[in-house]
Amino acid sequence: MKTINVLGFVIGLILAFVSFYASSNVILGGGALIVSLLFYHLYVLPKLNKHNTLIQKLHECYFFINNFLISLSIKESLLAAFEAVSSAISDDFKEYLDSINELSPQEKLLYLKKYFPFHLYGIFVDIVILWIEQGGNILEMSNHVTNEMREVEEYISYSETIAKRKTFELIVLWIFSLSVVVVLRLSLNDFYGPLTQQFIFIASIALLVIVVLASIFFFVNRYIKIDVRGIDYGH
Amino acid sequence: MATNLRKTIEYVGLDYKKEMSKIALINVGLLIVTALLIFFTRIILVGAIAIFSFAFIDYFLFTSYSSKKKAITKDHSVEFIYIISYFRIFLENKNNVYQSFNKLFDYSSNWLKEKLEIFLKAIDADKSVKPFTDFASQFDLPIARNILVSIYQMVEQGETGDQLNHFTVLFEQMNKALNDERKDKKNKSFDFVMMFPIIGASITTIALTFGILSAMEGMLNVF
Repeated sequence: MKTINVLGFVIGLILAFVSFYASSNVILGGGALIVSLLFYHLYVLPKLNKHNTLIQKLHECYFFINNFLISLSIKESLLAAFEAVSSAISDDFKEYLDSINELSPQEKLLYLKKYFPFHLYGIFVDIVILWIEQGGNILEMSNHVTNEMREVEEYISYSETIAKRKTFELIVLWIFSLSVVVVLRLSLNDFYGPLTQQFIFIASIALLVIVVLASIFFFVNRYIKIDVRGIDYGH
Repeated sequence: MATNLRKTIEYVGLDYKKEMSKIALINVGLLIVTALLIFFTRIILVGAIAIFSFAFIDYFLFTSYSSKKKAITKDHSVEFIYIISYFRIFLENKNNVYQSFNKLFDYSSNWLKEKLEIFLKAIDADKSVKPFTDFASQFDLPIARNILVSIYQMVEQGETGDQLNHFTVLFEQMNKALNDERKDKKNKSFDFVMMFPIIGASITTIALTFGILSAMEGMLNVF
């Protein structure tokens, strides 16, 4: 089972434990578990999966363009360049390439616009076609495209690093925050019975669960937001 | 002020009359709710809180249009930087200025396609720098004017090494500023979320404080 799937269960169990332990209310604990599991699997997981697929494609596009151009400049043949890059691609991409094997190398490049729906890939293909028609130094011609792709790759790497660091920070902050509930529960043992009978207190624990889920909602939306153009519109 | 508001609402693609009707309906709804609350609770303070809430909600509604306008304007500026980067790629691959601009249609939003069309028609009819500066004025980016003037000089004087260098310097400056800004934006975007654990701890502490005080009040009443 992937870590990302297990994470949903862990979040659900922690929230269920904290809300049940703090309120001594089975309904609240059970409700927290169900709501958090549903929220994670119906909202968070699809968003994260879609984001990871996009990031993987951006990385693949960057490596493909770089390796293809280098091979093309050395071997001066589209077919040889395709063969050279095929050895260092992901299984999904390899499968996609195998499915279009009957096409000519130029047709393959054009068809790959569906796999890489990015502006820079479209411009790269235009440059390769221009090179086929008019000749020249392919590395010089594609210099700006590779620079732009490198900037995108650097920004993606930077975003991922920041996102991972902020994930760790948020987890630590919530551990401290939820520990306050657990520690107060332990230390106020005698007072706790009357507290758990009060509606305001139960509602506050429910509100705490909502705040945790709201923080995950806002965090995920910021995590998956990447400021890269040329993905949504164009071809 | 009303004219400015109308212009802002139309700029973000909404209908002025519909928006004003929507705001009026919201205010009428809030008035009815307030009247009912005062009627049933008989507390004047509710009215005072309601008036404060009205002011806040109306302020938020009216300023939301200028926030949307700023976001759209910013979006257009960022799009300009991207298409100029593509323009540079086409220019340095055996396309002249006109051909390079023509190739940008495939990579532009509908808004920009419209502006590009007007621009290309204008440069066909007017060989002065005006079409270039008019196109630059569509973007809230001071450097856009310098870049378009530099491109005009390429058209007038030919795509010489000096002209290309000048254009490249301006472009690199603009591109670096964009890259730095988006990295900074990514970093700061998480600041808001980091407040939530503090809010959570505050809710717990306040709830426990009230709960304990209520329990103690109960105990004191017994005595």
